[in-house]
Amino acid sequence: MGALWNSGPVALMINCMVGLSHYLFDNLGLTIILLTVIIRSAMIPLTLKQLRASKAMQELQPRIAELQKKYAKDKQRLAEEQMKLYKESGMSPAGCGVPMLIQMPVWIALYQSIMKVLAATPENLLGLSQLLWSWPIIYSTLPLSNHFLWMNLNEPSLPLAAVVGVTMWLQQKMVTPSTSDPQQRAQGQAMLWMMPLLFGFMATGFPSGLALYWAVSNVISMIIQYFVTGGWGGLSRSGSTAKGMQIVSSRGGSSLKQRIAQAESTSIQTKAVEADIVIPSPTREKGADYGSERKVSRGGYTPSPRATKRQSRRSKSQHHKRR
Amino acid sequence: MRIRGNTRLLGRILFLVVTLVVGGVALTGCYGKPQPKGWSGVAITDDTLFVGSADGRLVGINRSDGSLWPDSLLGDSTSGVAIYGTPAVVGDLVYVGGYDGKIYAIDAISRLSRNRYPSEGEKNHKPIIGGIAVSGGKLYLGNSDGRLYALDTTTLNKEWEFKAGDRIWSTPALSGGTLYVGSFDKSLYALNTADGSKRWEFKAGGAILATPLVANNTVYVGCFDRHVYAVNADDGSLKWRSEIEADKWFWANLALYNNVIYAPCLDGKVYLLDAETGSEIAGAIELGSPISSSPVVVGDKIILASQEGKVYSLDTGNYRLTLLIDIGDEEQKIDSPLSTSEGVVYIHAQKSGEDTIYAVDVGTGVTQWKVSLKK
Repeated sequence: MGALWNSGPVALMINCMVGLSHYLFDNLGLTIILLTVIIRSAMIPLTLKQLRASKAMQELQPRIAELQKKYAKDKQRLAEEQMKLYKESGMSPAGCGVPMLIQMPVWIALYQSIMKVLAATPENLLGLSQLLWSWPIIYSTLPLSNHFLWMNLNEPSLPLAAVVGVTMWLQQKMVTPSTSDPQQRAQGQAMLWMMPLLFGFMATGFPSGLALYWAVSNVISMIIQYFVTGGWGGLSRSGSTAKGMQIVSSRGGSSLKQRIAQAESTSIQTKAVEADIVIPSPTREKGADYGSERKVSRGGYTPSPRATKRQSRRSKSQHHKRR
Repeated sequence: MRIRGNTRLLGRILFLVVTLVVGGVALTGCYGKPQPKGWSGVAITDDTLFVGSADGRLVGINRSDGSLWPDSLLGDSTSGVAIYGTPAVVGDLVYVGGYDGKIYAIDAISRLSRNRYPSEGEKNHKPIIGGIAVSGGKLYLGNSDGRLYALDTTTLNKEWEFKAGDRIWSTPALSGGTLYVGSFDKSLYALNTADGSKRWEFKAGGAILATPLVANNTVYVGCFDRHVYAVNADDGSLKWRSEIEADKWFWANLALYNNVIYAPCLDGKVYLLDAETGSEIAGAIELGSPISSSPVVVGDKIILASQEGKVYSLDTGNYRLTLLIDIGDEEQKIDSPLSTSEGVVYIHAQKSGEDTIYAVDVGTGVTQWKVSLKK
């Protein structure tokens, strides 16, 4: 299995990397950057799917929290209601995980290829020779020079490790939703700090070529995230959820706690009020009057991100007509 | 209720932390931080062998019965340095270059470190992979920093250095007053041993890791571009480039016997080339697995080792292979160069960080002794 993996995806990436470096002035640093960009670009459909699913999941969190509170003593009912909620909102809990799982082997193959091409030890270089294809371009290019900017890509670089930590923190900050739920907030905070610390720490001990891949990958994630969510997310002070909350309060609506209490006292069918609390970001950024507009037009749970988007367009046209 | 909520929160955070740590370890553990092990060849004196072990020690072995010296000359079971080059011995001093970039001179009698370069407090150099050549009170060795150093054998003070374009993993070859060495920069250099001045430089098509072979006023070397080169030792002009193009790199040293070049390759074949013209004189001999170990000539036999643990004797008369020893059954690999003295070949085999030295009589194929270097 290991041999198959090495001679398949890993060898493919290694040979692509070496071939690519031939056209990039034998520069391994540039090659790592470009290959990471190419692979991340090829993965964009899956990444988008994953990001949208996790965004939709985040938006459902207040409702799930309410259900958990409501059916705290009836686990079976809770599970049923949660499934019902997922069904109504047109999403699956596996929606975030599956695209990520599909991408995982590609990341691992890329990671391993970079490590092998770096050939930090003589054993690595000797092992690399067995994964190369018999193309003249491959043999004339290797072994690659391991210098890039001020770094030896085979050795750890503290500044680059710091870049890995900072870019990962920024990326995590972008995706961390602002929430009033202390549990979710604590989880978000843990993720916000754990990942950058873990990867930053690992980057201090690994060849900087690998840290370069992590840093570039983080920056690409941030760019994708920016375009998917249409903003800097948690990095901007008026993050999307916070914006939504402000909208509600500016309308003179009730506080979150009050509305949760209200929600608890009403049946599932009369949950139109709750739709104010979490509105998918494309709609949230419309302005203060949009929430009421939406309530009139539909009400109830957010159907699905896609449906919300469609509705958003309809609402926009209605808005124009009114004008 | 509050306590329950906090416990649940703590549980979730703990789960998150454990998932991250396990995920990180799984991801990096699949292909973790590279750990150099070393594949030192065996240095031979009248009664002792010196070799670097996979746990980073320099050990002494009694040549007669294979018994290990009780103490290591360098490193111990807890701290060691990977050794790739074959140690060099001059009198009572054993010289060895480490992956830590240091060159050590150790007294074989007192087992005390006599000298070190760079000395204590000086900035360390990059890893040393190649072996050491010794002549006329100087020792010469290449470094991954792209420099070739000439040091005084007594003091280990630097006499001169030569800067190549990239890493030097090749062991220098000495002939007359000239030093020949290959580099990752795809060049073969001829340097004056007196002052390190460059006599000539030959540009090949790929990196050169093997030790050049100097004979008949010609320098022969295998290259990463999958060709063997013959270069005029006087002026560095090309005599020939082999017509054959192997499937993989030429990593190990070449052997010469009776005007035939024996060129072992990582594609698992040994190419037989006419030393005068470079043309193939017979079909390549298949050994079945990559050949990274440098061969030795014993009488009229070429002794070759394949990576998968088979050691062969190749008859130079009829080019027939005879299996001397197969240690592949014990999952041992051979990457270290072979050494020989008085009809006995010394093999350094490795398996998962454990190494064993075999002493095999070439004439009879009998294993005289074998010893594990594990402490």
